[in-house]
Order: sequence, then C-alpha cells, then structure tokens
Amino acid sequence: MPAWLIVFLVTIGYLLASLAIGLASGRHASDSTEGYVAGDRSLNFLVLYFIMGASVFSAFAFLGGPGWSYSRGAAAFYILAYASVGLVPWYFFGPRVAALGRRFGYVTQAELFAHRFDSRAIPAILAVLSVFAFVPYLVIQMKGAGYVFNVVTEGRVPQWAGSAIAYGVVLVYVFRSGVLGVGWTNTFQGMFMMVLAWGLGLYLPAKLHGGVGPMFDAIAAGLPDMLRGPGLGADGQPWSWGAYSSSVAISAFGFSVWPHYFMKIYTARDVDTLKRTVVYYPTFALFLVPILFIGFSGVLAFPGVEPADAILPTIVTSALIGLPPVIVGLFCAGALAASMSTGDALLHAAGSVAVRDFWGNLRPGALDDAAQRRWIRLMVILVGAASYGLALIPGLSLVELLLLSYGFIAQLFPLTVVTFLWRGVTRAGALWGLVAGGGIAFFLDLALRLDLVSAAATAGVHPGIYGMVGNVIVMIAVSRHTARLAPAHVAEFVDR
Amino acid sequence: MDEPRRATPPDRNPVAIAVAVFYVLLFAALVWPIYPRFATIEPRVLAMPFSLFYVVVGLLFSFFVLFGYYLWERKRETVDRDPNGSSG
Repeated sequence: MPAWLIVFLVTIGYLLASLAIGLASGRHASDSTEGYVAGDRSLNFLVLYFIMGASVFSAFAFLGGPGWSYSRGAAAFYILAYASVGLVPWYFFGPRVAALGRRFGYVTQAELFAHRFDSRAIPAILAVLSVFAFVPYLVIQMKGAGYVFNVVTEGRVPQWAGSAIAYGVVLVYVFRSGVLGVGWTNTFQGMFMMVLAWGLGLYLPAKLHGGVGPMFDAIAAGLPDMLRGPGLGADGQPWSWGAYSSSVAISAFGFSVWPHYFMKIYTARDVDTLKRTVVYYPTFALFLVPILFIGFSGVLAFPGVEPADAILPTIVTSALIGLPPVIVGLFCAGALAASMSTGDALLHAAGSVAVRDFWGNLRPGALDDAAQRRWIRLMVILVGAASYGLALIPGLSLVELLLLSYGFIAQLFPLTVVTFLWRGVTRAGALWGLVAGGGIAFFLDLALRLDLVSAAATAGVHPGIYGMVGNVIVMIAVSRHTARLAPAHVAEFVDR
Repeated sequence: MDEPRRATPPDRNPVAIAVAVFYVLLFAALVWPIYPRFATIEPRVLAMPFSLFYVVVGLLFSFFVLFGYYLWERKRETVDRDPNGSSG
C-alpha cells in the first residue's frame, strides 16, 4: 500500500472515531436549549478541562506555535506567559457567573451583561461583534484542516476537500449533540494532541540534533537572537519589548472573556468542577513547551520554509526524518484534532450567540425553546457554510482580522470586572466605555496599518491596550454623570 | 425576610487577596520591565535557555499557588461545615 494511502486511512479512522464520540455523547442531553447550549449545566471536570484546553490550543497552537518558534524564536514564549495567568480570573468570578446563570437561566455571556446593566444594546453589540470575531477564527481553523490533508496526501486531497471532510464531521456532531458533542470530542482530541505533542516534541530534536540540549546549543551558537527575549518580529528583526509585553497582556486579558469560552462557565456541574478546571489549566498549557521544541528543531535543519506555519508538516513528511506512514497519519489526525476542537466550539457559540443574544434582544420572547434550538442549529449550518466559503478564497488574510478582534474582545475584561466589583457603574457608563474602548482599538489599528501613526509613537504597544485605558476612563467618567441602576438590582451582582 | 444565602459570596479574605496580588506580580514578572532581565540564553537549565525556563517556572508557579489555595479553601469549607469545628 502506498504511504500516502496509509496516512489517509489513519486520518479517516480518527475522523470516524470523532464522529462516533460526538454523536454518542449528545444522547444524554435534555431536549432543550439549556441542554443544547449549556449541557444542562452538568459537565464534569475531565470534560470541562479538555474543552478549555483543546479549544484554546487550536490550529494556531499546533501549526502556528511551531511556526512562531521556528521563525521568531523567543517571541513564541509569549504564548506560555499569557497561558500561565489567563484563566486565573475565572477562579474568582467564575463561581459567581455560574451561580447567577443557574438562578436566572443565562447560557451566553451577553445575557449576564444584559441583565446586570439592564441593557438591550450591550448584548446586541456583543452578539454582532462576537460573530464577526468568530468567523475569521473559524476560517483559519478550516484552512488549517484542509492544508494538513493536502500536505500529507502529497496533494492528492485538495485543500477545499480536506476542509470539507473535516468540517462536515464537525457540523454533524455539533448539529446533533450541541455542547456535549463539543465536550466529549474535545476530550478525545485533547488527549490525542498531548501524546502527539510530547512524542514529536522530544523525538524531532533527538533525531535532528541529538537532543533538546544540543539543539539549543546549535541555535545559541548560530542565531543567538532567537533565544534571547523578546525574540524576533515578523520582519526577522529583534522584536520590541513593548510589543512582546502588550501581546502577553492583550491575550491574558482577552483569554478569560472570549464569548465562546466564557459561556462554558455555565456548563460546569458545580463550583468545585469550575475551580479545578482553572487550577489544572496550566498543566494543559505545558503541552505547548514540546510544541515549541518542534519549531526550534527546524531552525537549522530546515531553513527557509515559507510560510513558517508549514514547518511542522514539512518536517513530519520529510524523507530526512523517515517517519513511518502510520505516525505521519497520527500527526495529521492530531493537527485536525487541534483545528476541529477549536472550530466546533466556535460554531456552537456562534449559533447560540446569534439566536439568544441578537435575535432574542431584537424580538424578545418571539421564539419558544424548541424554536430557539431549531434556529441555533440552523445558524450553526449557516455560519459553517459562510466560513467555508471564505476559506476557499485564496490569499484572504484573516490573521490580521483575528488580531484586531483580540483588541476588541479584551474590552470585555474591564466590563466583567466592574460587573462584580463596582456598584457605581451605570448602563450608559458600561455601554460607552465599551464603545470607546472598541473604537480606539479599531481606529488605532487602522491608523497603524495605513501608516497614519508610526509604531514608534505607540511604543509597539497593542492598540487594544490603549482601548482598555480609554474604556476605563470613559466608563468612570460617564458613570459619574448618569443615573445609577436600582441598588436592589445591583446587589444581586455586587456584594457589600 | 429570609434571603437564601448566595452560593458563592466573593472571597475578600486576606488569603484570597494575597493570591490575587501574587497573580498580579506573576503577570508583572512575565513582561517588561522584569522579564527582560531574565530573558537570556545563559544559564541553561534542563537543556532550555534561561528565557524559556523562566517562563515555564512562571507556569508551574501559577499551577502550584492556585492548587494550594484551592486545597486551603476546601479545608476551610470542611471546617465550616463541621458543627464541632470553629466557624471563624
């Protein structure tokens, strides 16, 4: 049997296993929106741990992580830095969010803000922006899946077909099983990725350089700037500390409030489950260390690979390494797992947010529970189809769109903090703070791209950070001059 | 009126505040101006350049501190539930 066929068959085997797990898991959910979106608030520690871990370590981590360490060296350490603090806020506000969700029936993030600030504008804005943030993210995952298929079958499966096969499977189990399908497949995919990351992360440096130590010796001798912080920028020149530090900050602030992660707080069975998920989260993040080793192993052995994200498939399929086809197939499956375990959560969240937060605010009470579930499923298909359409457009750069959306999502962090800690914030304060923060992040980003503002003028700091500063100032200023919310209502959220 | 107690009152005990302060400091330690002092190649630890080892230690600290706090909270809850124990 030719090698590519073995690779292909192993990959198909993995996809069938994902499909079977995804379909089987949904049988336990109740036939309600709460069952479909929040898994009846019944998820256990193992599943929640892998949902969070696997959703975060997406195609970006699996292909982009080695790509970063390969082309930018120590700059890639920012991913480890933000992962070590990013989820910690959940430990403090998560139990509160879960308790309120249980009491008032929230299943999305915006429902909490809508109730807290008695506002229909805030959730509607969040819904539109969330879906806009999800789509480029999803398209990148789909492209990643198609790309992997294409490389390991030596071009026999075109990229469009690879994306379609992988996301056809995702669509079926998200449609059928909702969040439980996402959860159980992520558990399977997460374990798979961990084994593969450690296996390849230790094997490749050993095979190419005789071990991790000799690999770093060689890089330190030849390209020392790669190992010194803050590593290299996208242009290959040393990166600035302002850019490194603000990348850590913007990702860490945004991490705990991305709408599709945030809504997983409602799925936890109890407070203890939620807290343990946060506590054990860094153990999942450790899996990024061997992922970075993979990229470093290619620096001297495979110079000049373009784009840098292709370094992992390039190494794995190279004759120099001589991996047996079964292992290459497992790698292919692992990369698909990384893409799918993020994509499924995004699809599921996009459908839920569009129906609950957008339509639910425009026409409150227009849909009963069964109709909501139907519409969420329909939206899952529509968003999946639209993203797939975008994934087919060659040369469409979405990474920049994604970075822009990070700047906006981080604006939700101050909003979340004041939701629980500050009685004085008003509806107008929350709304205008968000608008100001998002506006500053967007226009500053645009001005930088159009060279209206030089990077030196902003010290290389991410526009989202300036947005957060503006957000907080406007929020405080407007709150001081506008009517406060009823104290009894606020007391539901803020203690003492 | 007998208001039911909230399931999770926010923790404002000194230990919780100390933990929160620790995470602010950990974050500060991972960015400018502290991290640049440690983002060097030497000394190499566990085969890694020090710039990487330092960040991995941050990750491990993050885990152990929160794990310790979690255990402490559980112990305190057990004491609170035990009618013979001190409820503070």
